[in-house]
Order: sequence, then structure tokens, then C-alpha cells
Amino acid sequence: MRFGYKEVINAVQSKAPVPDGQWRSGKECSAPIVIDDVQISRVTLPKAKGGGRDIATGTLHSIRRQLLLCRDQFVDFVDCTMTNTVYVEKMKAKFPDDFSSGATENP
Amino acid sequence: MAERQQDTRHMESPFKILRKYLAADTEITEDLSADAREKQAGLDILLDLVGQYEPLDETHLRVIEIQQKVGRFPRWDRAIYENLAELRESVSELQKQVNELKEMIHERAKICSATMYELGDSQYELTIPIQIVLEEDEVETVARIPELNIYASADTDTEAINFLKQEVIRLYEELESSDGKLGPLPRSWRATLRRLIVKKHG
Repeated sequence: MRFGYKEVINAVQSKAPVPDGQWRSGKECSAPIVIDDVQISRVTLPKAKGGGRDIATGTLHSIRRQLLLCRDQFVDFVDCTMTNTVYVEKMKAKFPDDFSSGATENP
Repeated sequence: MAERQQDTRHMESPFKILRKYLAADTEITEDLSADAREKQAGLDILLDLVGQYEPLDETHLRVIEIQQKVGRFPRWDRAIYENLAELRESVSELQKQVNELKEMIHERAKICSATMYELGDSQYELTIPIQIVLEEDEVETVARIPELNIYASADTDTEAINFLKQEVIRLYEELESSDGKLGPLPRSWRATLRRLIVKKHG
């Protein structure tokens, strides 16, 4: 599994449901993944390195884990096969209790 | 077999007898009819063959015997070649898999654990040390906390751990200040962080 910085960053920024203005920049930029007003995860992206370089394997797998996707799903996600809608559906299926009759209230 | 060989030694070879007979019978004449010439040519060939004759020794006879025995079995050579082709195919597939494994091992990160004792920020204190995972590959080191699903990457272990500390604080602040609904994972991260981190006041 090898992907370039741009490929992954573009895929995450365009497909992961992150509310507007929620990308926080630092050494790496991070944002919450929110579906129907429920935060299901949080993703951190490394700063893009030039020259069309590939993201190192460790970082790539860490992003995959944060997106709560298995290896094959992550490949689909980055390769454009998995749309934003499909991703949201998969996440809803992963947490049926939170999306069936309303999410748990924030205590 | 040995008996047969012994017997032939005491007996005069039929070819020797034939050779004697032919030698006595073939007197060369000047004027030969077509039929006689044909007969003469045949006799010449026969004489030639007789001249070449050598009785088979024990080894040759044994070889012939084995050849005859083997000849009675089905054709093994074809089956052997077919099996060899299959084996060659399997070996080639195995070689391919070994190469893939070599590549995977080469790319595989070295994984070890480390402990984070403080967060490097005077505002926050850890109640207990945090176990972190370090994954070092050819390019960089990734430090992560599986329970909180956060990571930080850098060129060296120390830098990665330092960035991870900042990431822990950022996650803590985000979750504490979140006014939205939290799913099961963020809820569990917040509960863990509340146990791990104490925010100092003043």
C-alpha cells in the first residue's frame, strides 16, 4: 500500500466529513470527523512533502486507523472508489447505536 | 543366465558354422548370371554381419533383461516429466512468494514500546505514565497511543514523542471544549484522558 501525500490529503479533506473551519493546523493538521452532529473520530494529517513523495507506511496506517477503515477500505477511500456518502454509510453501520434513534447526549 | 553363458562357451557359435559354410560355398567365378550375382551380394552382406558378430557378455545380457522388464511397465517417463513440470511451477510460485515476503520484511517497521512520563507543558500533569508505541521504518518514526488513536511522526524517536505530547494535549483540549455530541470512541478517549491528565490552575 503506497500513496503520495497529495493523494491522501486530498482524499481525506474531500471525503471525510469534517465540519467547516475545523481543520486545526500545527506541525500536523487535525480535525474531528463528525456525522450527523456526532463526532465519531479524529484525523491527523502530516504536512505535505514535495516531490510527489509517498507517505511513510507508519503514518499511512495511522491515518487509516483514525479513519476507522480496514486496509482494503482505505485503498478504496484514497483511490476514489469510495465516495463521501459511502464512507458516511460505513461509519453509521459501524456505530448503529449512535445513528439509529439519535446519538447519545454529551454528558 | 550364468548357465546359459557357460553353455555357449563350450558350443561352437552358429555364426562360426555359417561362416565356414559360406566360405566353402562361395567360389568366385568369372561369369555370373543375374540371379547368381544377387545371391553373391546377399552372401556378402551375410558374411559382413557374421564378421561383426560378438557374443554378448554377462553385463549386456543383464542390461537387455532389465530393458525387457522395464518395457513391460507403463510409460513412466511421461508421468515423470508431467510431475517435474508441476514441481517447477510450484517452485516458481514459492520463489515469487519468498520475494514478496522479503520485500514485506524489508519494509516492515521496527516496533517497540516506550513510556511517556510528562507532557512537556507546565499547565498539564500526568497522573500515571502513558505507554506509547514507537514504529521506526526507513523513512521516519511514528509514535502513537493506540488507546487514544493518536499519532505523531518525525525523523527521530525523541521528536516523534515530543510531537505526540502536543497531540495528547490538543486532543484533551478539543474533547473538553467540545459542545457537540461524542460518539463511543471520543467518549472513551475523553474518559481515559480525564484519568490521565490533571490541569493545573493558576
